[in-house]
Amino acid sequence: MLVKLSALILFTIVLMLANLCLGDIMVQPLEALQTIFAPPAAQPGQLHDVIFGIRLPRLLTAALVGLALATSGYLLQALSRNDLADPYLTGVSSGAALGVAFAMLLKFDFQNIPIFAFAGGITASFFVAFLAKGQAHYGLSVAKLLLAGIALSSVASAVITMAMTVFGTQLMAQGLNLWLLGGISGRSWSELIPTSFYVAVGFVAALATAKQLSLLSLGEEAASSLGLNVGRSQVIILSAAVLLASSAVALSGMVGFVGLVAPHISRRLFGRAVRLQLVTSGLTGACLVLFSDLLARTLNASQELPLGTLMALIGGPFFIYLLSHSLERVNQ
Amino acid sequence: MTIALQAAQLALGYGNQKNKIGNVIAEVNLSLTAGQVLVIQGPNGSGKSTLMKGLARQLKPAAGTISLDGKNIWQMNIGEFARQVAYVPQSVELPWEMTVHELVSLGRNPHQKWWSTALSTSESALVAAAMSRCGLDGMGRRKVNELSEGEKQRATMAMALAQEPHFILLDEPTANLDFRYQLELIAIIKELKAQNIGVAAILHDLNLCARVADQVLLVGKSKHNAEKSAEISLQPAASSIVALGSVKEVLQPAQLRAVFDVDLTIVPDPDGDCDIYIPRSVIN
Repeated sequence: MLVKLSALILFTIVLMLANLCLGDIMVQPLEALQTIFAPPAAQPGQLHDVIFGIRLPRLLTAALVGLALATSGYLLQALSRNDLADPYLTGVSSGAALGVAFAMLLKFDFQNIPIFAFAGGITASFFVAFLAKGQAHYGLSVAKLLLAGIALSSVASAVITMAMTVFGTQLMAQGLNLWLLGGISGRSWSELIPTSFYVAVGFVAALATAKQLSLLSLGEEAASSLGLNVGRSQVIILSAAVLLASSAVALSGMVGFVGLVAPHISRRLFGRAVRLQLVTSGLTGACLVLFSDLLARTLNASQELPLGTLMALIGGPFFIYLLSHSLERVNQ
Repeated sequence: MTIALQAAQLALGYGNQKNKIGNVIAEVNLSLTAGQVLVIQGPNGSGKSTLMKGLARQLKPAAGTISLDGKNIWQMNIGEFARQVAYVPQSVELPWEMTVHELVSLGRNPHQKWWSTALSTSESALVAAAMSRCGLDGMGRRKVNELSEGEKQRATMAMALAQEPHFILLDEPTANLDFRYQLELIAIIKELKAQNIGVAAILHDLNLCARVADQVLLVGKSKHNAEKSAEISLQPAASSIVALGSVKEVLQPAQLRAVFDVDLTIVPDPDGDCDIYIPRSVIN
């Protein structure tokens, strides 16, 4: 297991290096590392600008978004006890996007945007959880969860479009549309640093709830008979999941399926032990988005592909595959 | 000083304030003291499991109170309650790749800090002893979702033992056990009793019940109540206590016939001191 984990960490580092070096301007790995860790004194040349101004913030954004979405997806899956939950499909991302749209309309500073995203996301999650709870004794009904997510996403995107058409400028609407497609191009340090703070809070909270997740996996009845305050734990875990997803949305817009695909791959590779999964899901997600963003930048040189579109192209069929292999459970 | 788990004028039912469904079981008064074994008997649907859930603080009483050592259990902190009372439901979901050892270790949760899963040396010994007592020696590394139903039941029992409670509530603990482990379970209950732990268990088998019970609680619907309830509403009548007392007092043919509609023969055991109960036929 330790070997596999080391391999995953090594793979993440290699992908980061690839993101640093590959692109319109090819950079030698050694040269790139030298620029970062031992910058030649007092002469910031072109290489320095490419690395520090563009590539480094972008790859860190990709890793952060992947980590946040995958961990959020893992938490939502553990909480709802079904492997098809993900912030995108359950409408959490849409709620967060609605929050971001309002923050943009009201012209708030970027560092406040994750707060609006969180407010939108948490409202959406409670709404969906309420709808999906129904009569189910354990966990949330899969079908209801996904349907509520679809309904909520539609309403949220309609409200965003309407608000932008009525109150926003055309420029603002264009910017928002681009952002909604999901992408991390042009993210700067000033956006990355405040968001990484929120992601760190969410991730630490997620790690701290490992035992609660184990207890909840025994069912609410058994968990509470072992002294767990079930309701409070669920709210804490849900909040951590929503904070992570909302931070990712604030940074990269609507990038779907990472929260679905990454935990699944990670489970295949590492099993289901909670503490390990919390780490490996996040790392797998980081790898997934790093890899996708590399493709988005390099596949089509003249104009880069939106990351969200590319993820949907990868994740959509994967979701259909998962769905067709768990139809019995969906029917419940 | 002996502590007691007591129910006074307890009524339990499902549904919420708006959508009140009639009580499943009502007017329950009982007292389980440390070192005592209470076995609950009654037909299917008579509210035995509901009563267990109530005693286990899983279901809020519709009326009446449950107290532990004189304190209302719903005014206690959930952790404080779990340190004193363990509950083994009929089935625990074990869907993940958790090992038997990890599962049994979770029994220590009420005694640990909220983030910690570390076991002290004495706790490790306790977990090992609990597993050993339930016949799980050498199975610590097995995944729980690969266990048979009977092994799962023993693993959840071991988890409850690791909880070190003053009271253990068992909902049909023998349901999936072969007769060897049924006897083992009876032996475990007797050991718990010797350790001054109070045990409440739902056991359908009258013969197992007779071997282990200090008190038998027979619940069911009295004919009189059922008819009266049918007249005033469509809701089925709530169960209540038919009899509560020693094995000899409660497990009498006439009483059992009235509740289960079954004729029984009771014969003395030639090699033991418990009577043998033989259900003969259903009365129509």
